[in-house]
Amino acid sequence: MDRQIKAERAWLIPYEVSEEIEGFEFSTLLRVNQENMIKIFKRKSLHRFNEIMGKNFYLAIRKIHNDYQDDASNIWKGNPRSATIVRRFLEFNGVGIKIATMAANILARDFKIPIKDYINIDISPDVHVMRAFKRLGFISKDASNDDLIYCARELNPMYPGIFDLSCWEIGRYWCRPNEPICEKCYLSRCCNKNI
Amino acid sequence: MINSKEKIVNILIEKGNELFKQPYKYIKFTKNKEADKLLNNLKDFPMPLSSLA
Repeated sequence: MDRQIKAERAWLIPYEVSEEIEGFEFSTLLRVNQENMIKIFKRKSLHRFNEIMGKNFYLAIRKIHNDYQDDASNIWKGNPRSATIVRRFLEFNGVGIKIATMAANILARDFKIPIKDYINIDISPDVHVMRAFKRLGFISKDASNDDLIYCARELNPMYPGIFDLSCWEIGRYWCRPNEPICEKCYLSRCCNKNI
Repeated sequence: MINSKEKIVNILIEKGNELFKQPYKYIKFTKNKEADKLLNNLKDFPMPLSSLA
C-alpha cells in the first residue's frame, strides 16, 4: 500500500477497511470479494490507486488464506532466513523490492522477530533514503535504485538494511527536497551536502 | 585519520544498531491510536480462523 502516498496514510488502510467491514478477523476479511474490496477503496478514497490497491489487498487476503493457513505470522515463523521472508513478501501481488525489504526490516528491527540472518534485508529504495544517500555523497546524483542497494550492501554487507530507518528519517524530516534543515541534522558536521 | 564518509557510515551503523538492540516499543505508524493498536498487535490481528474455533 505504501506506494506514492504518505506512509501514515498507507498504514491507515487496514484500519479503515476493518471499520468498513466491521471487524478485522480473518473470517470477516475473507467474506469480502474483490469487487467489493475495490468499492471500499474507492468509496473511502483510501489510496491514489484505488482499483489496483483494492485488488492487491483482496489478493493478499486470499494468499494468506491459501498459503499461510489464515495466519500472516506463518510468513515469518520458525526463525527463517532473511531471503525467505523477503521472497515470501515478493510473492504478494504488487509487492516489489522496496516494500518487501521494508516489511522484513520492520519485523526484524521493530517487532524483534527472530530471523536467522540479515544479509538479504536490503535498504529500501525510498525517495527519502535515496535523497539522503545522494546528498551524503554515497551515490551519484543520477544513481538508480540498484546503485543505492549495492552501495548499502558494500557499506554494511551483513545487514544492508541497517541504514533504512535512519536515512528515511533524515530525508523526511531534515534533508528535504527544498530548504533542507541541515542545522538540525546530526550528520551535518561530516555531511558532503551535495545539494 | 578517519574520513567523513567513514564517520557518517559509523554514525549510521551505530544508530541502526541502537534501534535494533532496543526492546520492542509500541510503534506509531499513523496518527490514529486505534489503527496503531491494530498494527502493533501482530499476534491477534488479523485473527486466524483457527483461533475462533
